[in-house]
Amino acid sequence: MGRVRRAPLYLALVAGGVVMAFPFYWTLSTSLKSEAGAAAFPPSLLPEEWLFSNYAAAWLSAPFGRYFLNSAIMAVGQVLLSIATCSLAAYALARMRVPGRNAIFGALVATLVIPPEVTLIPNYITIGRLGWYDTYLALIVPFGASVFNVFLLRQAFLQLPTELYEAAVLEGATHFRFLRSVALPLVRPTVAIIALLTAIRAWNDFQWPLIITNTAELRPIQVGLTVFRSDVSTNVQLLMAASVLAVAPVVVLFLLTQRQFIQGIARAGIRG
Amino acid sequence: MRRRRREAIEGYLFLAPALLIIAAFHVWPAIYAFYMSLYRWEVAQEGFLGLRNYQHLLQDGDFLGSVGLTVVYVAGTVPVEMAVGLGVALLLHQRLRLRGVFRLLYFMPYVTSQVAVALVWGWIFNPTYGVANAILETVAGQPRTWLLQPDGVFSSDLPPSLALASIMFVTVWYYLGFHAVVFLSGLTSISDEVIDAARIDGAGGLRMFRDITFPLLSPTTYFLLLVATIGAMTSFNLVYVMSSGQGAGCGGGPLGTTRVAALFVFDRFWCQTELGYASAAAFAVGFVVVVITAINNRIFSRRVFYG
Repeated sequence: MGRVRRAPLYLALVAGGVVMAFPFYWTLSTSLKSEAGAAAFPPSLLPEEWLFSNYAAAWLSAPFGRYFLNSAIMAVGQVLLSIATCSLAAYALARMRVPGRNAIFGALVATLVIPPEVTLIPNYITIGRLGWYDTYLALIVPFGASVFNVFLLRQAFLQLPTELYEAAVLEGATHFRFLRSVALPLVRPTVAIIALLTAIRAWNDFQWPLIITNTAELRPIQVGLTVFRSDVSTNVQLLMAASVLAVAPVVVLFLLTQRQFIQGIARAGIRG
Repeated sequence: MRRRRREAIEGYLFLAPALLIIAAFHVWPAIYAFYMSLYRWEVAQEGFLGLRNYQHLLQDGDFLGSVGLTVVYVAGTVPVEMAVGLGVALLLHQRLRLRGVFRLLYFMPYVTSQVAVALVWGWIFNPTYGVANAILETVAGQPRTWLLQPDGVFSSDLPPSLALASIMFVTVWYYLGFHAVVFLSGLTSISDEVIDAARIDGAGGLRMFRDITFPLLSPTTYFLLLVATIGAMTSFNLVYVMSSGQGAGCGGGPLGTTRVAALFVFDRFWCQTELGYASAAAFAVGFVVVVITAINNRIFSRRVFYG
């Protein structure tokens, strides 16, 4: 194809790209404006003076440090618990002689048809009965295993050559030791994708933490952000600064790992 | 023999933690939701109602309205985001410079949190200071009230309201990169030989797309259609945050014209504390989701070309 015929393609992509990027640009621009500058109409594309101090002001006007810590605990907790439980289960389904393992796997896959939204209200009741209301346990444990993760890890374990295990058995290794020191390190790319997707999903989660946390001590960032909105309704530049801070960790993580991430999404096709 | 038994026991122990969590927080609640829906259940469990909550749902204008709005929301977002996503994927599939940058740009919204995205678009659509109105005025249009406007886009009392339409636009913006990326991986997996052979036979441009590329993409298309339909039917975060205005609220405004099914359930559950009735609504919507999955599987497993 000639250069000239490509021009419309670029034009279409650039035009679409502007629409895609504009909200990001607008968030950054507003976050640096003064209160009067943000309220000017028609708005100016660039801040008249660049107030980086808005970020400090936003950070200090709500317990954002605590919100970030809570989201980090929630994300790391979900990642660690999910990898532990799902790799054990996946390994048993892939490599151990367990009676009924095909039936168990089939039942697990069948549970994928259950829409998570149906489980919201009963899970709220369960958390209350367990006495976990407004605790980290409620933020972590319900997401501490998923059929999807079991499925991906099982696929990865099935692709390891059986000779590896036979060699390990000759040296006296147990299943657990083999899983921990040989099998898991070998499926690191799969573990990395699961960790990445779980962490981002946890960081962005909103509805569940909204109903099972009640205090600022336990509130994760997304819920904190909506609380902040009702507190600073007129100071939109602070709200935009807080929004930038709330998405920054995930965007940085995504930019660092975008190749694996996009491949992971394309392969797994998960829609949040 | 003894070794086998030991291995079996060990295997069940390996399976136990994951199965316990999945059973307790995914399978059991689905059953329990149905159980709860059979009771009058406000703060605590009260009298047995049988199927009366479901009877009530069928006569509840608010619920039926929310189902209608959900249909509008799904029909107005899923086909658009898929079509645009496919278009972007076809463009990105060409050997263009800066391909990686464009892919990143289109995919970016999908990793950002829906809460932040909703707040930012809420600011863009602000009726007094918002940049949407500034852009509209430079092209000589009247300013709009966007997310606060209950009047319909097509006719004043027909959904979608301008508020819902604005939220639908943001939904498309949010998800189209996801569609583009999955379509792109579908396009990449079509073998070059098929394309080359078709080209030698004289296919090109539109005919190539209609007769070769699109049919070969059908597994991807089917997959995306199903995932996006279910996702949109149960969509909560974007709609809730964009429709709850300044206060914490229960969402669904203005005048309930954005109260899709997930918001109806949340309103009855969280704001009205009618847990039994909300469970009936959630179970009914969940049942429709399962039925759609099953029907899609049947129709498309016959028509999809797994080349």
